[in-house]
Amino acid sequence: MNILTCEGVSKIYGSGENQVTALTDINLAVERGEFVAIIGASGSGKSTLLHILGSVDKPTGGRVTIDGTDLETLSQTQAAVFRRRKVGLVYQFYNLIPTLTVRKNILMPLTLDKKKPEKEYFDKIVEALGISGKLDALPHQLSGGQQQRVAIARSLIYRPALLLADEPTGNLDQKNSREIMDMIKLSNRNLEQTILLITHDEKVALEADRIITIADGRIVGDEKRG
Amino acid sequence: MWKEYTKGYLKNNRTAAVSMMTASFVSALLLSLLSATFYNLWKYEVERLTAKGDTYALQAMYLTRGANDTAPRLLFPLFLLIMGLASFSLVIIIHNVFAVSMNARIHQFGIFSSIGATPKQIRTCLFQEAVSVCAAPVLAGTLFGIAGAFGVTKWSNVIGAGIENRREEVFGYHPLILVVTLLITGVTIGASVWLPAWKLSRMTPLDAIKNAGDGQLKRRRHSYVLSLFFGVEGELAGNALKVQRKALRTASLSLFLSFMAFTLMQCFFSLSAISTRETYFEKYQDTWDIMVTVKDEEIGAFKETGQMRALPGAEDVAVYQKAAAKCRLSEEGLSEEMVANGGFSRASEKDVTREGESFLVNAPIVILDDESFLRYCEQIGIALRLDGAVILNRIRDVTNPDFRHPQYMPYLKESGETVLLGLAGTKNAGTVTAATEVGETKLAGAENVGMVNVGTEDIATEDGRTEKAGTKDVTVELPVLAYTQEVPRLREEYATLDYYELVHFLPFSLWKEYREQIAGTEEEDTYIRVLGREGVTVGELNDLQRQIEAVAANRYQIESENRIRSYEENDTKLQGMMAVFGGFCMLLAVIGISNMFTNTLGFVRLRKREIARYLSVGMKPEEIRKMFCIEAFVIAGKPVLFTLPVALLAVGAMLKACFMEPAEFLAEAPLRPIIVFMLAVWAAVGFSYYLGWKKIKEIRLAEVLRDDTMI
Repeated sequence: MNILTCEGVSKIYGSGENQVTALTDINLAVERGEFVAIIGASGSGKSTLLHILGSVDKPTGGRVTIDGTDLETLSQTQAAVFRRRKVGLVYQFYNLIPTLTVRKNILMPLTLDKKKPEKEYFDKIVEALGISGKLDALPHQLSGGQQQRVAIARSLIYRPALLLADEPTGNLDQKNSREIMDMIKLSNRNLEQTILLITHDEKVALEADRIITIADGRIVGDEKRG
Repeated sequence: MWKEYTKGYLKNNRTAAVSMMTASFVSALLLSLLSATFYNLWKYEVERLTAKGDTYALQAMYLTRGANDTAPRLLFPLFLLIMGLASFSLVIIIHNVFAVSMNARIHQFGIFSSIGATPKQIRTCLFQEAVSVCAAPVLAGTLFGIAGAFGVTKWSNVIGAGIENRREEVFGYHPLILVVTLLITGVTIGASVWLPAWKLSRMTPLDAIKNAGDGQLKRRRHSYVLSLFFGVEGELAGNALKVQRKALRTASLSLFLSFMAFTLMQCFFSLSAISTRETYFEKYQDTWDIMVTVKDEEIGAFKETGQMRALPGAEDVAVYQKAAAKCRLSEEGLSEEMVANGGFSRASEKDVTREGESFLVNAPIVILDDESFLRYCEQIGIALRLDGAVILNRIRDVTNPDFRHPQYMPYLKESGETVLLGLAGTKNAGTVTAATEVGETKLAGAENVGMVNVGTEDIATEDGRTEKAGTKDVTVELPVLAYTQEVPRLREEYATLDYYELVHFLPFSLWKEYREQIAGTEEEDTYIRVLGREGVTVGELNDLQRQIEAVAANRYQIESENRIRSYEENDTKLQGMMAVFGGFCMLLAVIGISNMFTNTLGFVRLRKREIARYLSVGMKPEEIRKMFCIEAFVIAGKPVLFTLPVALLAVGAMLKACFMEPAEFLAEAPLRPIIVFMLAVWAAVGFSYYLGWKKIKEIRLAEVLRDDTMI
């Protein structure tokens, strides 16, 4: 069953002479529980695609459906709620709220919905990510690797339909990169989390079940791995 | 290189430049306005005293002293103090504007530092930048300040136009004042620039390049109240405010100071107005309407009393003169209440002199014209006679300091039929000397007799004569018609400074008999108290005043006062002072509000990253708007919240000091101007946040995320 479908998605920035085509006719389907890596050089359009899938940006043409929701129809407010509930976003620079503790950062999507966390699930995530001892710290008191684990925990807390990770290891050293990738894989295996990971690092991409290659805004390769 | 850097920075960061320009303009305006206004106040006072020929007061203005002059000089030190405080407050408030602009470039200065720029070079760069940005606003502010002071002069002439005997204020400006103003402004702005520049230049290159601490809290905080009332948006708003604390310090401080100063000023002046009205205007409402002071004339010399009484509209006219005397009292003569209250045990030696078993107290004499004295007899219910004195037989409960609601008790036992007055001092000596050994026998008894010593050099006296410094004291024995606790209708207060004085009312006929013996103790002027009909209007009083002046002004040198006009003038003066102080408060608030605007208009630059984080975790625009509303509410509400307890304490202390009931003050509490000021501040803060929100709303998350430098 497809959790994500893209039909003829295109994205054009600017107009006239300054017009830049970021994506052209992207057709893509991702099944529930799949771990997909999108790989491409810098400027290939992979981040634009991730922003569109995360309802952060809107395509110029085509249609994106995630877990039955057509993103085109969403208003700004609906898109925010969609982001909160259906999509977990992990960025290269963590994007944690520096004024809130680790615990509050993780719980933020639930808090915004005035929902209480399931204690067992919360404990499971923080234990698995190895941050249970840092819950009362502020983000800047953690290392880069620890901050990225917090970002992953936050993206998983709402059990999103899709986890979108944009170069999650791009700002980390080798050891931390390895650990973060293990965590992502673990969430895919143990929680059956659908993951779409963007990277320019082929070694990182090799961790995924499927590798989609983008070049000049087009899908130029789609390889399923054993 | 630095010049180009500064130029480039200012060109690309107009908000920061506007913010610095506003701060320096407002500072220069305020300091220039203050110094020009003070100069004109000084000039006015000097001109007034010169015209009056009061050389002593004039010398005092210039801080020169005579050998025996120990009186404090208040005006000049007060000017210096206010200028000093204004400069200090401005440094505290505006240094932050410069700090915000400088801190925004810590990273850049870190790069400069890493390639070899010395702290001094960085400081010099920042100073040059401040000079180039502030020079024009300082000049403009100074000129506007001078224009403002000119306006203040004109305006004070307009509102003071109705005030009697007021000299018109002519605006003046001395080049030296311009130099001093520019110097003070330069020092104030220089200090404001130096503080953050010094701090920044001392940062290590590594710290500067890392620019750690941006948008972070140093330690874990929790906005309990805000999160309790407003949920997660409240907590985020509270934390955002804590992070922006430095950037908002100027706004917070100036809004708080302006609101507090305005509130306290309003409360103080309202209280003062109520107090003056109750203790003066209302207290004497049925006592006088026109008061005439006949200069250097004794009561006997004034012959126009009849004419005055015949004037249409003059319901009651009393002519009187005052004199000073001493009276000796024995402890046995004091009333039981007075004895129970400690007798003279609490009296200071200045007021009461103990002489063996007796006490010498001040005995002021009020000499009333005969007709007024007879009316007084009628008022207190005694036979109408002119051959004796009426003694005001009351003393305040000295243990109760409440001057607004004084408790009186009988002073003496009311058994004496005569009073011995020792009339002391002469015009020449000008001092009251103690009488001695007079009337001892009578004083030792139960009779309440006192003595007044009158001293003139050419009077030979019989008993109890003491010679001191060329004066000769005499004793006169006066019959006592009555002891009473009621006072005649005069614009006089009794026993206010010396609680133990024993006031005597004498008819002029009786005074005349003793005049030869006791001349010289009376004051130089004679007073005429005129009461109009009940409910008299200011127009009618003005007419009456003109008629009185027409009767008396030809033969005497007179000064007259009109109760309703005095009340109005007092009101105008208060309004004027409130407007001036209120203006200063508004200027202070303008600094805060302009800082608010520069801050919120720079939201996109300052808070893009923060907003992107909120959006990326799924915060709705409405939730971010709610967060902004909470921030605005806190910024605008804090001055009110902090001022309220301070104002309550201050008003409580003021009410206690002037013994006023809280209900009296509350009935006329200046709620309206305070609320209007508060709403104006709220509206300005709200509007600045609205503009900030309008800009923030346009942020596209995708664009922010695309810009890696932002994340």
